[in-house]
Amino acid sequence: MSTFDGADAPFQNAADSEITYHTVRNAGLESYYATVGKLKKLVGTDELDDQWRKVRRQLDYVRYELSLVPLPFNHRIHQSQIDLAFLRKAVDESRFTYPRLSDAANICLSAMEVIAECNENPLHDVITALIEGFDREDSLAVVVSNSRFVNPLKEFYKEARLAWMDVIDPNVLRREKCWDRLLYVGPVSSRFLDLDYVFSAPRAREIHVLGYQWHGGKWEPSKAFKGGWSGESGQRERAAKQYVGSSSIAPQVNLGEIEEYLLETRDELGGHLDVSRAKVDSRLFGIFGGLGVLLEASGRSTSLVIDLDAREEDRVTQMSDAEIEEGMYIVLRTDSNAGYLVPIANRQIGKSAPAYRALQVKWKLALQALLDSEGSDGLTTRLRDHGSHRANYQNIRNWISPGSIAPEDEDDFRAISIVCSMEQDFSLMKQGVRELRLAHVQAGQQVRRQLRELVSNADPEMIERNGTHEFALDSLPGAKLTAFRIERKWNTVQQVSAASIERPFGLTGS
Amino acid sequence: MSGARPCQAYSPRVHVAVDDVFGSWRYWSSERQDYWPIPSWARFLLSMGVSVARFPEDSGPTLTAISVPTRGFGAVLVTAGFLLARGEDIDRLDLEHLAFLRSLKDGSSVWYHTKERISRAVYRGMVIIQGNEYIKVEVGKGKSATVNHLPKNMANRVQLAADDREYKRSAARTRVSASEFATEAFARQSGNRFAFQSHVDAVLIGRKSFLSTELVDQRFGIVAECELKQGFLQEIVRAVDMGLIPQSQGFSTLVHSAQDLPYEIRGNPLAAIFDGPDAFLKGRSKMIAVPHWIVVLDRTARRFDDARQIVDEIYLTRTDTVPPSSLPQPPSGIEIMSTLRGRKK
Repeated sequence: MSTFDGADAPFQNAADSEITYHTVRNAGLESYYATVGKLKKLVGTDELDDQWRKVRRQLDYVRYELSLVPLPFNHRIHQSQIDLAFLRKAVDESRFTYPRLSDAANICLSAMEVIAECNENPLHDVITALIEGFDREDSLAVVVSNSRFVNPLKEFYKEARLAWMDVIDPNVLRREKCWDRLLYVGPVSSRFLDLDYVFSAPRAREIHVLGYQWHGGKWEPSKAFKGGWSGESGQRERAAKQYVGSSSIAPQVNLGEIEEYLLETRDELGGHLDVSRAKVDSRLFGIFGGLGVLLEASGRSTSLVIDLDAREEDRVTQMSDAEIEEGMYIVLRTDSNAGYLVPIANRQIGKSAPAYRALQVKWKLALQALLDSEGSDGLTTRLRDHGSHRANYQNIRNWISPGSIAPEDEDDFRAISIVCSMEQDFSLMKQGVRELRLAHVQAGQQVRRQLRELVSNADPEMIERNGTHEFALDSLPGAKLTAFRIERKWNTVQQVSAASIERPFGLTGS
Repeated sequence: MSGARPCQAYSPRVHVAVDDVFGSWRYWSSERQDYWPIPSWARFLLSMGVSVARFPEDSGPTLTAISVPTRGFGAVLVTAGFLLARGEDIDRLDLEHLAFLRSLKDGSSVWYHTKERISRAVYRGMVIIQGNEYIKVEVGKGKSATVNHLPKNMANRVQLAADDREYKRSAARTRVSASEFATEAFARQSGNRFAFQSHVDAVLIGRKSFLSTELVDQRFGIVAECELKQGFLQEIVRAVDMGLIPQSQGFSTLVHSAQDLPYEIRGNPLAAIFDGPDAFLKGRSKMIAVPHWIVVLDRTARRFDDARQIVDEIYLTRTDTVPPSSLPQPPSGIEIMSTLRGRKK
């Protein structure tokens, strides 16, 4: 919520903030950047096999992401993204698979091996030199463009006794909070339009931009509207060091690649996590920390969401994937894959719960098997022949989904029991559904009530700054719920295994 | 009041404009624990609302877009400026109110303001007695009901009652006049008329959680005759939907969530003020009939670019632009654009 004092600072900063640019150099990284560029030119538009796509991702990681964070090049977060043994093997094999790429790939790999050993980072050197000239009383935040690096950098600064500096990602700069200085690491070119606000609506009087030569030119103020006009700008820019303009390709968020990645990992996810065979429509969300999560996009299913901009009593709510917006927080269970509703609901039902759940899994699996064997039309006809009114492809999919308990209409449910040869169990199925529904509603209310209390006791500004927050529920001892800020929402909907819904996974490498 | 300028006696003149008073506006700074002159950006936003309210009546539908570095207080200040300027024309206020009463059906539920009280009454139409037009209202029920014939110049005493729930909440409430803050904000010209009349001048669309805080929690003040007249923006921007302000004070602004816009808005609002990209993207289709759109867009908002694109499309299909001289010069960090809304033929 805004206060007048809080709103005043961004207006003042927008009027007279200064941007200072600092170009950093590192011979090893520059050489690597150039060699990967040559390799990419050689690849051109050729289609690569799966192994080489993985190679390309790792090469790109070092080429782009390594230069976006002031962590040592051999920091474990980087090492976790690079599999040198795999790369060496793939590059060796390239003599036979891609002979015309082999020499260039070898050079790249050799350069990468040097970088991967290096425990320095010139960005860190510049930051430490800069802060020597700053008053420690002044507030300062290091802004890294990818939220994945926020927590590792915080830990690194803690170890380096620099914890007095805030580490944030650009999303935090959408709030009113201002600092005396911001140290922004990464590219500022107009190709990153979605980060324009960092400079057009600055949250500090002084912004220092740190980057490599290939991060491109300076930020250039642009008009907000066609035909718009504004007051005279103050002195918004001051180059401390000359940036050398570069036409090199900077990393851009590539939706196509991410979707490709999702497709590639879909089966992998399913293989690990699928407990039922159901496939559901899903939508991908990018969440804080470089993670992704799939939410069911059936139009019926909702997820637990915290909206810090809402009134206190409305902050914790259930929303469908379509309603969830960037900037809200999705609440996920992160200590196990069990979710939070089912265990609480089961406890409320008591000893009958396992039997009801087993029965539920049984008819859903049977229905899925029928859908696979008879197809949508065949199964729809059969269900309708047995009295179902609402059987159609979408509804059958919804009924199979583990996210739904059962059809709302008893005639639909009875038809399912008949086609699944479970008619003799129907009265027990009905009773189970009744109890499960009641327990789920109560469990949902209980979780929301507890979470609402926890959220109202938490500091929203701190949650915003951290991008994530952990909660422990009294009703589910030992369980850890984590709220993640939603940073990106994709429009496309695609089918995945139901078991991969609401389970965060790394988007790294995509 | 260390932050205030040296006291300047503010003598009411016959034609003091509301924006002449903006220099006397103060806000309560929780950081300084004192009242402080409102900064230039806030005066500018108030003036923007004033300027749009003063667009010529025959100007045709307009779109005015304002980009700001943060959403806080942008839309409510613009709305306040708009309403203050709408209150400048006293004759217009009276005529519009009378026209509004004429449009009501016989039997409409109204509030009847007397010196001491506000009573529920039934509107019985306009009647001609000896060649003069009167407003007929029936107060009370059954045998105790009394019929009053009010001359046209007392039209302000009658205002539409929205619903019974509101009646229950505010029945028998002591008569309310404009607050000291509102009186000064209206440059002592039309505060009471504004307070009594009940037509919708503007629609402010945004998140209730934000708008209600800004209207109700932030204290403002106006220095007048060496005194600080304190108040809140809600005394000018009276929002009907939030349940914060009793109906008896009438309303000039309808604040509504963008997700739940009413299909029908009572009265003929002259402006729709959109607080942020979401409000504009979700709410504009329901505001087609509203002549003036003011879109306050926070550059840090996630959907700023989406909203900007719509603004640009409207600009590119404009029939004419609004000359910059019609609008105040924005301070650094704020950008504005104003255009006629309409497709090129």
